[in-house]
Amino acid sequence: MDTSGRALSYYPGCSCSKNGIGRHYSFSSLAVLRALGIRVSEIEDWNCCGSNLYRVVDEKGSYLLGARNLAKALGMNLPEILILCPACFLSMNRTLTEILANNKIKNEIIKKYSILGSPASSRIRIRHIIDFLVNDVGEEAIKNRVKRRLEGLKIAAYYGCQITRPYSYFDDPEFPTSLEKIISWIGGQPVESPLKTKCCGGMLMLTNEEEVLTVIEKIFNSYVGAGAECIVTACPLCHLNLEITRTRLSRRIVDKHLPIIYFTQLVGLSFGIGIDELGISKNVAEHLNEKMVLTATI
Amino acid sequence: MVREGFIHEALKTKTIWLCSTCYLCAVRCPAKINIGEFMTALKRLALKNGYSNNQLYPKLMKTYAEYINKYGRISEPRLMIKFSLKTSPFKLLKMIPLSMKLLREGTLSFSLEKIQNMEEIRI
Repeated sequence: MDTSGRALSYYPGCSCSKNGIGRHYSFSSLAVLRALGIRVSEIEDWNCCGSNLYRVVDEKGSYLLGARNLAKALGMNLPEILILCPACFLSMNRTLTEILANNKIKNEIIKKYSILGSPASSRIRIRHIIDFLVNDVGEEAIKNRVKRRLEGLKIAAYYGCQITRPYSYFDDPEFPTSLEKIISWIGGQPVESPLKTKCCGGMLMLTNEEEVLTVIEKIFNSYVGAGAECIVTACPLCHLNLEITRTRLSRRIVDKHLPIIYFTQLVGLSFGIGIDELGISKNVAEHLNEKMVLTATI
Repeated sequence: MVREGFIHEALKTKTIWLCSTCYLCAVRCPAKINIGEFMTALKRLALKNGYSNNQLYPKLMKTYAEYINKYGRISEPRLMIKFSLKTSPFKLLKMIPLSMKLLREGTLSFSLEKIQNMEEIRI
Protein backbone atom coordinates (compact mmCIF):
# COMPACT_ATOMS: atom_id res chain seq x y z
CA MET A 1 0.00 0.00 0.00
CA ASP A 2 1.39 3.40 -0.90
CA THR A 3 0.83 5.52 2.17
CA SER A 4 2.91 8.51 1.14
CA GLY A 5 0.70 11.60 1.20
CA ARG A 6 -1.93 9.91 3.33
CA ALA A 7 -3.63 12.15 5.91
CA LEU A 8 -4.71 11.22 9.42
CA SER A 9 -5.87 13.11 12.46
CA TYR A 10 -3.73 12.72 15.53
CA TYR A 11 -4.91 12.38 19.10
CA PRO A 12 -1.90 12.90 21.41
CA GLY A 13 -3.68 12.57 24.74
CA CYS A 14 -2.31 14.05 27.96
CA SER A 15 0.84 11.91 28.23
CA CYS A 16 1.96 12.44 24.64
CA SER A 17 1.07 16.13 24.51
CA LYS A 18 3.82 18.72 24.46
CA ASN A 19 3.60 19.00 28.26
CA GLY A 20 3.28 15.28 28.92
CA ILE A 21 5.79 12.77 30.23
CA GLY A 22 5.65 10.93 26.88
CA ARG A 23 6.40 13.95 24.71
CA HIS A 24 9.43 12.24 23.18
CA TYR A 25 7.20 9.39 22.04
CA SER A 26 5.13 11.98 20.24
CA PHE A 27 8.04 14.01 18.82
CA SER A 28 9.76 10.90 17.47
CA SER A 29 6.54 9.42 16.06
CA LEU A 30 5.72 12.62 14.22
CA ALA A 31 9.28 12.84 12.87
CA VAL A 32 9.11 9.25 11.62
CA LEU A 33 5.73 9.78 9.98
CA ARG A 34 6.98 12.98 8.36
CA ALA A 35 9.95 11.09 6.95
CA LEU A 36 7.52 8.57 5.49
CA GLY A 37 5.50 11.32 3.83
CA ILE A 38 2.42 10.89 6.01
CA ARG A 39 0.43 13.97 6.95
CA VAL A 40 -0.79 14.13 10.50
CA SER A 41 -2.99 16.89 11.96
CA GLU A 42 -3.48 17.18 15.69
CA ILE A 43 -7.13 17.19 16.73
CA GLU A 44 -7.89 20.75 17.74
CA ASP A 45 -8.56 21.37 21.42
CA TRP A 46 -8.70 17.65 22.24
CA ASN A 47 -9.52 16.55 25.78
CA CYS A 48 -8.36 13.73 28.06
CA CYS A 49 -9.70 10.30 27.04
CA GLY A 50 -10.60 9.57 30.67
CA SER A 51 -8.59 6.35 30.63
CA ASN A 52 -9.91 3.56 32.85
CA LEU A 53 -10.11 5.83 35.87
CA TYR A 54 -12.69 8.46 35.03
CA ARG A 55 -15.29 5.86 34.08
CA VAL A 56 -15.28 4.50 37.61
CA VAL A 57 -16.27 7.92 38.91
CA ASP A 58 -18.62 8.87 36.06
CA GLU A 59 -19.47 6.32 33.38
CA LYS A 60 -21.69 8.48 31.17
CA GLY A 61 -19.20 11.32 31.38
CA SER A 62 -16.39 9.03 30.26
CA TYR A 63 -18.16 8.29 26.98
CA LEU A 64 -18.69 11.97 26.47
CA LEU A 65 -14.94 12.55 26.85
CA GLY A 66 -14.21 10.08 24.06
CA ALA A 67 -17.10 11.29 21.91
CA ARG A 68 -15.93 14.90 21.93
CA ASN A 69 -12.58 13.84 20.47
CA LEU A 70 -14.19 11.58 17.87
CA ALA A 71 -16.57 14.37 16.84
CA LYS A 72 -13.69 16.80 16.45
CA ALA A 73 -11.73 14.39 14.24
CA LEU A 74 -14.82 13.87 12.10
CA GLY A 75 -15.35 17.63 11.98
CA MET A 76 -11.84 17.97 10.53
CA ASN A 77 -12.86 15.40 7.92
CA LEU A 78 -10.01 13.16 9.05
CA PRO A 79 -11.87 10.12 10.40
CA GLU A 80 -8.77 7.97 10.63
CA ILE A 81 -7.38 8.77 14.07
CA LEU A 82 -3.80 7.99 14.97
CA ILE A 83 -3.09 7.28 18.65
CA LEU A 84 0.17 6.49 20.44
CA CYS A 85 -0.84 6.00 24.07
CA PRO A 86 -2.33 2.53 24.68
CA ALA A 87 -4.72 3.81 27.38
CA CYS A 88 -6.10 6.43 24.98
CA PHE A 89 -6.23 3.80 22.23
CA LEU A 90 -8.27 1.53 24.46
CA SER A 91 -10.71 4.11 25.75
CA MET A 92 -11.31 5.73 22.36
CA ASN A 93 -11.91 2.26 20.89
CA ARG A 94 -14.33 1.53 23.70
CA THR A 95 -16.24 4.76 23.16
CA LEU A 96 -16.51 4.06 19.44
CA THR A 97 -17.60 0.45 20.00
CA GLU A 98 -20.24 1.49 22.53
CA ILE A 99 -21.60 4.24 20.31
CA LEU A 100 -21.95 1.75 17.46
CA ALA A 101 -23.37 -1.11 19.52
CA ASN A 102 -25.28 0.42 22.40
CA ASN A 103 -28.31 2.51 21.48
CA LYS A 104 -28.79 3.89 24.97
CA ILE A 105 -25.31 5.36 25.04
CA LYS A 106 -25.52 6.43 21.42
CA ASN A 107 -28.74 8.39 21.98
CA GLU A 108 -27.22 10.13 24.95
CA ILE A 109 -24.08 11.03 22.98
CA ILE A 110 -25.73 12.31 19.81
CA LYS A 111 -27.80 14.78 21.82
CA LYS A 112 -24.53 16.60 22.31
CA TYR A 113 -22.56 15.48 19.24
CA SER A 114 -25.05 14.96 16.41
CA ILE A 115 -22.24 14.36 13.92
CA LEU A 116 -21.66 10.98 15.60
CA GLY A 117 -25.19 9.97 14.69
CA SER A 118 -24.62 10.72 11.01
CA PRO A 119 -23.55 8.06 8.47
CA ALA A 120 -20.11 9.73 8.40
CA SER A 121 -19.41 8.21 11.80
CA SER A 122 -19.03 4.78 10.20
CA ARG A 123 -15.81 6.09 8.64
CA ILE A 124 -14.07 6.56 11.98
CA ARG A 125 -11.06 4.30 12.44
CA ILE A 126 -8.88 4.27 15.56
CA ARG A 127 -5.33 3.34 14.60
CA HIS A 128 -2.46 2.60 16.89
CA ILE A 129 0.85 3.73 15.42
CA ILE A 130 2.25 0.17 15.55
CA ASP A 131 -0.72 -1.07 13.54
CA PHE A 132 -0.39 1.76 11.05
CA LEU A 133 3.36 1.30 10.53
CA VAL A 134 3.22 -2.48 10.17
CA ASN A 135 0.00 -2.95 8.24
CA ASP A 136 -0.34 0.20 6.16
CA VAL A 137 3.13 1.62 5.68
CA GLY A 138 4.65 -1.84 5.59
CA GLU A 139 8.00 -3.50 5.21
CA GLU A 140 9.10 -2.09 1.89
CA ALA A 141 8.47 1.57 2.65
CA ILE A 142 10.16 1.34 6.04
CA LYS A 143 13.19 -0.57 4.74
CA ASN A 144 13.55 1.92 1.90
CA ARG A 145 13.72 4.78 4.33
CA VAL A 146 16.42 3.25 6.56
CA LYS A 147 19.68 5.16 6.28
CA ARG A 148 21.57 3.34 8.97
CA ARG A 149 20.73 -0.26 9.86
CA LEU A 150 20.97 -0.97 13.59
CA GLU A 151 23.09 -3.96 12.77
CA GLY A 152 23.37 -6.55 15.50
CA LEU A 153 21.74 -4.47 18.23
CA LYS A 154 19.74 -6.79 20.48
CA ILE A 155 16.43 -5.06 20.98
CA ALA A 156 13.64 -6.24 23.24
CA ALA A 157 10.14 -4.91 22.72
CA TYR A 158 7.93 -4.31 25.72
CA TYR A 159 4.32 -3.85 24.61
CA GLY A 160 2.59 -3.64 27.95
CA CYS A 161 -1.04 -4.62 28.20
CA GLN A 162 -3.52 -2.32 26.55
CA ILE A 163 -2.17 -2.12 23.00
CA THR A 164 -3.40 -5.60 22.25
CA ARG A 165 -6.04 -6.05 24.91
CA PRO A 166 -8.96 -6.27 24.88
CA TYR A 167 -9.19 -4.76 21.36
CA SER A 168 -6.73 -7.06 19.63
CA TYR A 169 -7.70 -6.49 16.04
CA PHE A 170 -4.20 -6.10 14.63
CA ASP A 171 -2.12 -8.60 16.57
CA ASP A 172 -2.20 -11.45 19.05
CA PRO A 173 -3.46 -10.32 22.48
CA GLU A 174 -0.70 -12.08 24.43
CA PHE A 175 2.14 -12.73 22.02
CA PRO A 176 2.14 -9.96 19.45
CA THR A 177 4.93 -9.77 16.87
CA SER A 178 4.40 -6.39 15.21
CA LEU A 179 7.20 -4.58 17.05
CA GLU A 180 9.63 -7.43 16.37
CA LYS A 181 8.83 -7.03 12.67
CA ILE A 182 9.64 -3.34 12.79
CA ILE A 183 12.86 -4.04 14.72
CA SER A 184 14.05 -6.51 12.09
CA TRP A 185 13.11 -4.14 9.23
CA ILE A 186 15.43 -1.48 10.66
CA GLY A 187 18.25 -3.99 11.01
CA GLY A 188 18.02 -4.77 14.71
CA GLN A 189 17.96 -8.21 16.27
CA PRO A 190 14.69 -8.80 18.15
CA VAL A 191 15.00 -10.39 21.57
CA GLU A 192 11.98 -12.30 22.86
CA SER A 193 10.54 -12.31 26.34
CA PRO A 194 7.46 -14.22 27.53
CA LEU A 195 6.57 -11.13 29.59
CA LYS A 196 6.28 -8.72 26.70
CA THR A 197 2.60 -8.04 27.29
CA LYS A 198 2.71 -8.42 31.06
CA CYS A 199 1.09 -5.39 32.64
CA CYS A 200 3.53 -2.93 34.24
CA GLY A 201 0.96 -2.14 36.92
CA GLY A 202 0.10 1.24 35.47
CA MET A 203 -1.30 3.67 37.98
CA LEU A 204 -0.97 1.07 40.76
CA MET A 205 2.61 2.32 41.06
CA LEU A 206 1.14 5.13 43.13
CA THR A 207 -1.09 2.99 45.30
CA ASN A 208 0.53 -0.46 45.54
CA GLU A 209 4.17 0.29 45.01
CA GLU A 210 5.71 -2.88 46.46
CA GLU A 211 3.62 -5.20 44.30
CA VAL A 212 4.33 -3.21 41.16
CA LEU A 213 8.08 -3.08 41.80
CA THR A 214 8.11 -6.87 42.19
CA VAL A 215 6.35 -7.36 38.86
CA ILE A 216 8.63 -4.99 36.97
CA GLU A 217 11.71 -6.58 38.51
CA LYS A 218 10.55 -9.86 36.94
CA ILE A 219 10.08 -8.10 33.62
CA PHE A 220 13.59 -6.66 33.78
CA ASN A 221 15.06 -10.04 34.75
CA SER A 222 13.39 -11.66 31.79
CA TYR A 223 14.65 -9.04 29.33
CA VAL A 224 18.16 -8.78 30.71
CA GLY A 225 18.36 -12.59 30.91
CA ALA A 226 17.45 -12.79 27.22
CA GLY A 227 20.40 -10.53 26.42
CA ALA A 228 18.57 -7.29 25.64
CA GLU A 229 20.92 -4.37 24.92
CA CYS A 230 18.03 -1.97 24.52
CA ILE A 231 14.39 -2.06 25.60
CA VAL A 232 11.82 -0.32 23.46
CA THR A 233 8.42 0.65 24.78
CA ALA A 234 5.22 1.85 23.16
CA CYS A 235 3.46 3.32 26.17
CA PRO A 236 4.30 6.44 28.21
CA LEU A 237 3.15 4.86 31.46
CA CYS A 238 5.11 1.61 30.94
CA HIS A 239 8.09 3.77 30.12
CA LEU A 240 7.76 5.82 33.29
CA ASN A 241 7.20 2.73 35.45
CA LEU A 242 10.30 1.03 34.04
CA GLU A 243 12.32 4.17 34.78
CA ILE A 244 10.91 4.49 38.31
CA THR A 245 11.68 0.85 39.02
CA ARG A 246 15.19 1.17 37.65
CA THR A 247 15.99 3.90 40.17
CA ARG A 248 14.94 1.53 42.98
CA LEU A 249 16.56 -1.72 41.83
CA SER A 250 20.17 -2.69 42.34
CA ARG A 251 22.53 -2.36 39.40
CA ARG A 252 23.03 -6.11 39.40
CA ILE A 253 19.48 -6.56 38.14
CA VAL A 254 19.44 -3.78 35.61
CA ASP A 255 22.32 -1.63 34.39
CA LYS A 256 21.52 2.04 34.78
CA HIS A 257 22.87 2.62 31.27
CA LEU A 258 20.59 0.10 29.57
CA PRO A 259 18.75 2.25 27.04
CA ILE A 260 14.99 2.26 27.55
CA ILE A 261 13.48 4.26 24.71
CA TYR A 262 10.30 4.49 22.67
CA PHE A 263 10.34 2.26 19.60
CA THR A 264 9.69 5.30 17.39
CA GLN A 265 12.90 6.90 18.69
CA LEU A 266 14.81 3.85 17.49
CA VAL A 267 13.05 3.85 14.11
CA GLY A 268 13.90 7.56 13.81
CA LEU A 269 17.53 6.82 14.58
CA SER A 270 17.67 4.26 11.78
CA PHE A 271 16.05 6.83 9.45
CA GLY A 272 18.95 9.17 10.17
CA ILE A 273 16.83 11.71 12.08
CA GLY A 274 18.81 13.78 14.61
CA ILE A 275 18.80 12.76 18.25
CA ASP A 276 17.58 16.19 19.38
CA GLU A 277 14.50 15.94 17.23
CA LEU A 278 13.84 12.42 18.52
CA GLY A 279 14.42 13.34 22.16
CA ILE A 280 17.22 10.82 22.59
CA SER A 281 19.79 11.92 25.17
CA LYS A 282 23.48 11.98 24.29
CA ASN A 283 24.21 9.26 26.86
CA VAL A 284 21.68 6.89 25.36
CA ALA A 285 22.87 7.59 21.82
CA GLU A 286 26.48 6.95 22.78
CA HIS A 287 25.53 3.75 24.52
CA LEU A 288 23.60 2.50 21.48
CA ASN A 289 26.49 3.39 19.19
CA GLU A 290 28.89 1.54 21.40
CA LYS A 291 26.76 -1.59 21.30
CA MET A 292 26.40 -1.49 17.55
CA VAL A 293 30.10 -0.94 16.92
CA LEU A 294 30.97 -3.62 19.40
CA THR A 295 28.68 -6.16 17.77
CA ALA A 296 29.97 -5.22 14.33
CA THR A 297 33.60 -5.85 15.26
CA ILE A 298 32.85 -9.28 16.79
CA MET B 1 -19.46 -14.25 44.77
CA VAL B 2 -21.69 -11.59 43.30
CA ARG B 3 -23.81 -14.15 41.50
CA GLU B 4 -24.29 -16.07 44.72
CA GLY B 5 -25.51 -12.96 46.45
CA PHE B 6 -22.36 -11.99 48.37
CA ILE B 7 -22.28 -8.53 46.86
CA HIS B 8 -21.31 -6.72 50.07
CA GLU B 9 -18.46 -9.15 50.68
CA ALA B 10 -17.25 -8.68 47.10
CA LEU B 11 -17.33 -4.92 47.37
CA LYS B 12 -15.39 -5.03 50.62
CA THR B 13 -12.47 -6.96 49.09
CA LYS B 14 -9.10 -5.44 48.35
CA THR B 15 -9.00 -7.48 45.12
CA ILE B 16 -11.08 -5.10 43.05
CA TRP B 17 -8.64 -2.28 43.80
CA LEU B 18 -5.67 -4.40 42.73
CA CYS B 19 -7.01 -4.83 39.21
CA SER B 20 -4.98 -2.71 36.80
CA THR B 21 -7.41 -3.48 33.95
CA CYS B 22 -4.79 -5.17 31.79
CA TYR B 23 -7.51 -7.45 30.33
CA LEU B 24 -5.42 -10.60 30.41
CA CYS B 25 -8.43 -12.28 32.05
CA ALA B 26 -10.72 -10.96 29.33
CA VAL B 27 -8.75 -12.47 26.46
CA ARG B 28 -8.17 -15.76 28.27
CA CYS B 29 -11.71 -16.43 29.49
CA PRO B 30 -13.09 -19.39 27.51
CA ALA B 31 -16.63 -18.12 28.05
CA LYS B 32 -15.59 -14.72 26.68
CA ILE B 33 -16.57 -12.85 29.82
CA ASN B 34 -14.78 -9.53 30.08
CA ILE B 35 -13.79 -9.80 33.73
CA GLY B 36 -11.82 -6.55 33.52
CA GLU B 37 -14.99 -4.63 32.74
CA PHE B 38 -16.75 -6.50 35.52
CA MET B 39 -14.04 -5.35 37.94
CA THR B 40 -14.57 -1.77 36.78
CA ALA B 41 -18.29 -2.13 37.45
CA LEU B 42 -17.54 -3.41 40.96
CA LYS B 43 -15.20 -0.49 41.57
CA ARG B 44 -17.94 1.88 40.50
CA LEU B 45 -20.47 0.23 42.82
CA ALA B 46 -18.01 0.24 45.71
CA LEU B 47 -17.20 3.90 45.22
CA LYS B 48 -20.87 4.84 44.98
CA ASN B 49 -21.78 2.94 48.12
CA GLY B 50 -18.90 4.05 50.26
CA TYR B 51 -16.99 0.77 50.47
CA SER B 52 -13.69 2.27 49.52
CA ASN B 53 -12.71 4.64 52.30
CA ASN B 54 -9.44 3.14 53.41
CA GLN B 55 -8.07 2.22 49.99
CA LEU B 56 -5.66 4.45 48.08
CA TYR B 57 -6.90 3.68 44.59
CA PRO B 58 -10.28 5.41 44.94
CA LYS B 59 -8.50 8.53 46.17
CA LEU B 60 -6.30 8.43 43.08
CA MET B 61 -9.33 8.13 40.82
CA LYS B 62 -11.04 11.03 42.52
CA THR B 63 -7.97 13.21 42.14
CA TYR B 64 -7.76 12.21 38.48
CA ALA B 65 -11.43 13.08 37.96
CA GLU B 66 -10.95 16.45 39.67
CA TYR B 67 -8.35 17.41 37.08
CA ILE B 68 -10.60 16.37 34.20
CA ASN B 69 -13.56 18.24 35.63
CA LYS B 70 -11.46 21.34 36.08
CA TYR B 71 -9.23 21.35 32.98
CA GLY B 72 -10.52 18.65 30.62
CA ARG B 73 -7.01 17.25 30.68
CA ILE B 74 -4.55 15.93 33.23
CA SER B 75 -0.87 16.33 34.01
CA GLU B 76 0.82 13.24 35.43
CA PRO B 77 3.42 15.09 37.51
CA ARG B 78 0.73 17.27 39.06
CA LEU B 79 -1.53 14.28 39.63
CA MET B 80 1.29 12.40 41.35
CA ILE B 81 2.15 15.31 43.60
CA LYS B 82 -1.42 16.16 44.52
CA PHE B 83 -2.24 12.54 45.22
CA SER B 84 0.90 12.07 47.32
CA LEU B 85 0.19 15.22 49.33
CA LYS B 86 -3.28 13.86 50.12
CA THR B 87 -1.99 10.46 51.17
CA SER B 88 1.68 10.15 52.12
CA PRO B 89 3.77 13.23 51.32
CA PHE B 90 7.09 11.64 52.33
CA LYS B 91 6.77 9.27 49.38
CA LEU B 92 7.56 12.24 47.16
CA LEU B 93 11.16 12.10 48.41
CA LYS B 94 11.58 8.75 46.69
CA MET B 95 10.66 10.40 43.41
CA ILE B 96 13.59 12.82 43.56
CA PRO B 97 16.16 10.67 41.69
CA LEU B 98 13.73 10.03 38.85
CA SER B 99 12.57 13.64 38.74
CA MET B 100 16.18 14.78 38.34
CA LYS B 101 16.62 12.37 35.44
CA LEU B 102 13.40 13.53 33.77
CA LEU B 103 14.42 17.16 34.25
CA ARG B 104 17.76 16.48 32.58
CA GLU B 105 16.02 14.74 29.70
CA GLY B 106 13.52 17.56 29.44
CA THR B 107 10.35 15.57 29.97
CA LEU B 108 9.18 17.02 33.26
CA SER B 109 6.74 19.87 33.09
CA PHE B 110 3.91 21.04 35.28
CA SER B 111 2.02 23.11 32.75
CA LEU B 112 -1.49 22.06 31.97
CA GLU B 113 -3.66 23.61 29.28
CA LYS B 114 -7.37 23.89 29.85
CA ILE B 115 -9.72 22.95 27.02
CA GLN B 116 -11.70 25.81 25.52
CA ASN B 117 -15.23 24.96 26.53
CA MET B 118 -15.71 22.84 29.63
CA GLU B 119 -19.46 22.60 28.99
CA GLU B 120 -18.73 20.30 26.08
CA ILE B 121 -17.72 17.47 28.37
CA ARG B 122 -20.55 17.94 30.85
CA ILE B 123 -23.80 16.08 30.50
